[in-house]
Amino acid sequence: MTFSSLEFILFFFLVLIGLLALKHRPTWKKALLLVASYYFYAYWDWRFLSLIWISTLVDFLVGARLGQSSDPKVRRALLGTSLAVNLGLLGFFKYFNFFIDSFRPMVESVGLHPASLDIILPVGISFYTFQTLSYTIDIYRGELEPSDSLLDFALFVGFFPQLVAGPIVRASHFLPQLKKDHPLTGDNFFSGFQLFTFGLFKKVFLADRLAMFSDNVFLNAGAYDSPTTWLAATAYALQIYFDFSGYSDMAIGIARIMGYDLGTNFNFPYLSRSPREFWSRWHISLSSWIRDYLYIPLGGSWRGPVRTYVNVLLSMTLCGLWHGAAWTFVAWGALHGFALVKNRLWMQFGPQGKSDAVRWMGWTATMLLVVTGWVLFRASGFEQAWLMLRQMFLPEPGIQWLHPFVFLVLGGTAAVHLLELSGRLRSLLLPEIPRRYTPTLLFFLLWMTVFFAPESFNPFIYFQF
Amino acid sequence: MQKWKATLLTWGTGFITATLLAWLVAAQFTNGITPFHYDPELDEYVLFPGVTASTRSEGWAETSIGAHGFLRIEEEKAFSDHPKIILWGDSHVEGHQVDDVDKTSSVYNALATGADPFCISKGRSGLSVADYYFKMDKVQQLLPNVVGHAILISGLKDTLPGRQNPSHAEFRHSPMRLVPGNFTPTDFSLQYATIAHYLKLRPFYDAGKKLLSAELRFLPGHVGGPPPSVPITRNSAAPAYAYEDAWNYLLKRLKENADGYIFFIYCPYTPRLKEGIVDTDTAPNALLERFEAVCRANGVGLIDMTQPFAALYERERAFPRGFFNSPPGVGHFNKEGHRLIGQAILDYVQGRNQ
Repeated sequence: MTFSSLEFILFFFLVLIGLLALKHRPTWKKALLLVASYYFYAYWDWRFLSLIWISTLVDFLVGARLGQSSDPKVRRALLGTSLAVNLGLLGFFKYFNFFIDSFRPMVESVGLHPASLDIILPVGISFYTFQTLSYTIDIYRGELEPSDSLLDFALFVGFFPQLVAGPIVRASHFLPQLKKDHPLTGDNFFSGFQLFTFGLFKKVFLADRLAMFSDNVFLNAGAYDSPTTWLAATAYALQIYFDFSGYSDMAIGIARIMGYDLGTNFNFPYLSRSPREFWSRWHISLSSWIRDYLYIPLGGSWRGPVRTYVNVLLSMTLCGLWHGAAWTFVAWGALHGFALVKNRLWMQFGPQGKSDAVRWMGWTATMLLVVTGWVLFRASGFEQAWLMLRQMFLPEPGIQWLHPFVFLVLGGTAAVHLLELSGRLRSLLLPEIPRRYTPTLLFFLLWMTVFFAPESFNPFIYFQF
Repeated sequence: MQKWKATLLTWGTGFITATLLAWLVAAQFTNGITPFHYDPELDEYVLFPGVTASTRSEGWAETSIGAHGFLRIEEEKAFSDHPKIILWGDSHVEGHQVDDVDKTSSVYNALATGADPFCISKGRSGLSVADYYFKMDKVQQLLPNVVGHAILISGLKDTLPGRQNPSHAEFRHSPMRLVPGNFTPTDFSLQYATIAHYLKLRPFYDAGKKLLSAELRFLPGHVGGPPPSVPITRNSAAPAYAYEDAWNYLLKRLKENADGYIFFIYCPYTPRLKEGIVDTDTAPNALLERFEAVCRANGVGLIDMTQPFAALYERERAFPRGFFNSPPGVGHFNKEGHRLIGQAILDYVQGRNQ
């Protein structure tokens, strides 16, 4: 079920009633949350609960054994087991058909005839496998003690607010929270409800309505003129931001209502003035995971500049592949990888100005990169991406359709970002203690969401990852 | 206890204020409710005279409703003794997506000379040719000097049996016959739609309707299960009749009821965007040619708008359908579409009268 559905609202209401009823019984509360989380996942498909259980049990046992063993060979073997199981599950369900179809001509040339399988991609597998891997890797590195409670660990893996589309929560951040009781408080309820409301508004009112325009232009790539194509690319950049950050806000808000902290996943990425800054603000839980568990183990920036650039490129290319089993995602990741390399070179050898003009140029160049990258990300294939990019940069005549809603959202987004730059956004729109107008604002956003929800259902973009 | 009371008051006040603000905003940006009322002279439910239908989801326009559900802008013309043709159609003729002066009949009337008949619009969403057959008599009794009937169709489907919308008139086969419809608004609608219209309560109505009609599922799911059984649709069976027989029957019945001449205006969904390619669809349409032959044999006219629509795109890269808030080539006619059709009808009528 999705956070914007009636079923979820009823489900969450029942969970809260249950938590209230189990007020002074923290273990029972955790058990309730675990059962609720498994039900939440089973609502999509109960069969794939088995994969979560496999991941949970394997990594709990691996973690426990890692805590008991100091033999490097044994520890490596245990880590290898965790990696094999989790990446094996991910690889099979997400990438089997991709690699078969991509390399079929090569494979067939040596006389083999592999068949594609009818594989369903389990929702959330990219997220929870990364989450459990962070647990075993941190234990292996000696940075984390293994959990002594299967209940706690299972809840860390399957916690329903972040189970299907993140944020990717670190064990070191979440497991300690499970050691303490979390009574429901008015402050947490307000804070969580506030965040949830903004998230719902972003997803249903903004993202889903922007999709009605951008989907049509992408589907008919090449037919629309240059301004329309640029507008659609911009609309998609806004759509994916509102969709994903909206979902994250809802997930974080729901967790906060129950007293848990899932961290921050987005920090106004469209204020970034460099690719490096962009990746410190966009999907923070993923970019920090890539940094800590891929980039740094590859050597990070400690093996000389050339190796550093290779590590950056490889990490970002794999980051692209994580997003989806398609070469356009790989290309998108590689594009950002090249941009980050260029960013490093610029920081080392380029002129370093701090004037407003330089800051604006940096912002413009970064947004150009990001919007162009989103075209690759969104396109159904390279042909569609090429048609879009050609109309953006080498235009031919086409049909014009400049949807005013996109301009309205662009204006509103710019205003909110300027408020953030001025440092006043959080106190005005996300205060810790409600201001006089806060209830009016929140209920107004909810009404707008209800009144203007599109007729058809639009799943969260990141559900497909 | 005091703190809870204060919290409740703050949030309660906030809810009420938000609701009022949201109502104000939504009233401007959502479609209005258009109430119906029973018209004894026409013996049907028509849009309530005096109201203004607002459209925001496709286009941005207002339609003023006059006596007996006719356009207010055409009331005077409708009841005058001047010769007139009735323009029949569904929501494409109703044209709520454009303002009154831009609708097909208004375009025609603005371009027509004193010698030409007026054009009076009688369109409503969901109607088909079978409905026009049953309504013709009453309209001809109400409006003096009807000399012709123009019937706008977006495709040939509603000229054939079994293709009409539920609760409207039907064209059935085996044997061929026309069956009257029984379109009646719900009691709830008849009671409250007018007040909901004036108070602009459409957003609340839609939200309530969605909530009450929501089909909730609480059982765990199973992706990739057996596909839902395909309902037998009106269109799924192969026809048990010859198209020509159906058309001959329909046209003969229409001619029995109509005062004056009849002609069709065929308005296909072209040009249209199909995966980046604009398809103007000007290739010969075998089915339309067959229909045209039957029309000719029965002394019924036919205007084919395929070429004028295609020419609009070739000339101006514009589509006859689609608005600033809807995809080009999709949905109802925009100003350009109505203009082309109004002009085409005038050309036909003037050609007839020469």
